Amino acid sequence: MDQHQPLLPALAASDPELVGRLTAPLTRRAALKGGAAASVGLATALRVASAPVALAALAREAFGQTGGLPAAVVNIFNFALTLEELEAEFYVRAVNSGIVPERDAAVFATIRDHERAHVDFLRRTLGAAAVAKPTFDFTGGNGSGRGPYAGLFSPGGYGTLMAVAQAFEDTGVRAYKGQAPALRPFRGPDGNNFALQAALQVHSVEARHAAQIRRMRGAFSETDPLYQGWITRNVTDVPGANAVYAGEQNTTHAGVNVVPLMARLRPDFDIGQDAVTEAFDEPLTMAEVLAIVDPFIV
Amino acid sequence: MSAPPAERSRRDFLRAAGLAGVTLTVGGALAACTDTSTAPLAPRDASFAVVNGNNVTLDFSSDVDVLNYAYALEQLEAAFYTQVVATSGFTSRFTPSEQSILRDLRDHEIAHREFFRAALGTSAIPDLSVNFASINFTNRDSVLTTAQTFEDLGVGAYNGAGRYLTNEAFLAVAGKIVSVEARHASAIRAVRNGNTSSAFAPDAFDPALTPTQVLSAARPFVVQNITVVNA
Repeated sequence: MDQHQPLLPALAASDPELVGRLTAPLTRRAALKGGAAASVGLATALRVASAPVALAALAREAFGQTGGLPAAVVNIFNFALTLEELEAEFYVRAVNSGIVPERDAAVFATIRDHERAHVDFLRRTLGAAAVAKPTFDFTGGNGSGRGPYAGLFSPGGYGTLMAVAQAFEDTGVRAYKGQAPALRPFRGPDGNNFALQAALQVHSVEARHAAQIRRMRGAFSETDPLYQGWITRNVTDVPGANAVYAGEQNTTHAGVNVVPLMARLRPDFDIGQDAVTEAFDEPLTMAEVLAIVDPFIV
Repeated sequence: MSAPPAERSRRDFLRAAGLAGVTLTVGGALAACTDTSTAPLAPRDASFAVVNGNNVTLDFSSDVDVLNYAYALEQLEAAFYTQVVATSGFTSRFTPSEQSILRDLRDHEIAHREFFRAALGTSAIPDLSVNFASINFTNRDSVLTTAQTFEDLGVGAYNGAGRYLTNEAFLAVAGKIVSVEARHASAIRAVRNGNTSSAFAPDAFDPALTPTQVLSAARPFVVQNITVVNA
């Protein structure tokens, strides 16, 4: 797995231990344990998502004859797996906390099931190359249990719980988006970009989650931009989450600044800079994402 | 992510020029729009797209035509929400919160459309004519059902088309847009089915639709007959 490490240079400097975990293959015991844990969820995954799961099986079979998945795909999928494990355990704990109001219970259970299915898909694709599930500290305290989001699973903590959920979902969207170009070159024997395809199919689901959580936080009233399903500029009221939204105010895409294009539509349409920033989500690099989630990983 | 267009794309466009049957002109207002502050993705070359009367053929071996495919869908969505908001009775048919969502969706889709129009330059397909005869714009359910169809279709279309893009800058842009379409789909689904429903995200994996599936669903709403080859 040494060949994967150069892809994480920025993080290596800030947290070598985390890099080590992300790039270490599962031990046989951990793999078996992971497999057992995955079996229940796998049935769910097969039911709701036969296509990507079948894709994973095909990819493994195909690459099994040529020495395994390409190293870059392994690296990116393990990165995604760590994020999905974070989200999956977060929602498991949220649902089990007893503080999610009845009205929101179905939404939380749905997202929990989706994140579990993503974990299962990635583990199934990676096989023995999958990293172990980390230990998490959802207070953001790096293992102290006394981080800025302490109490999020306790009575009175529901506002914090939803704020952290939003930050995780919006980070997840940006994380997958950032890896799409790097996944593009890798094709299965049938010529299809199986890795990119699967990542895209997960990416948009994370965006659906993000929109729902954001709107829940505003009790589904669209009067406050903070609680709309889309991101206005780089603003957020989630404390400590500025890095999650950094750069979202960008209006230039592939060399085209979209804001001046709106001028010709006036006076029929008055579409300002805020709306333009909402219309385009921005990627994050792997290092940026890992820096965001680092306080949550023990 | 403001990477300049790659040289490779320029070569692709130039190569495309020799193969395109018809050089497109961009209709109406756009022709007068020569904003030099933008650096369009596409040099001012012909695209792969072949337009013959109402028949538009997009060739997915060209990144330009994959973007034209997205441009076609954004035209459709923008036209739909524009009519939704402009139809008399809009403010009584929808709650203030719903009006806010529908106006935002209109603005976002227009921004997407205008982005593609500018980015594609003279390689853009012409303005499409929409056929919304099957939609009752004065009926709340008809509007919301169509909105959900269009948003889900957009998500599936981008998810299915992404792998045809060879230029990483183009793929990055498609990625920036598809997640916003998914946010739209989530919101509209919640409006339609209730905020406590699981309908906002029906599966752990969104579909990746083929161009044939997408165009078949979009066909009733577009006058032009759009076909995709090499996909």
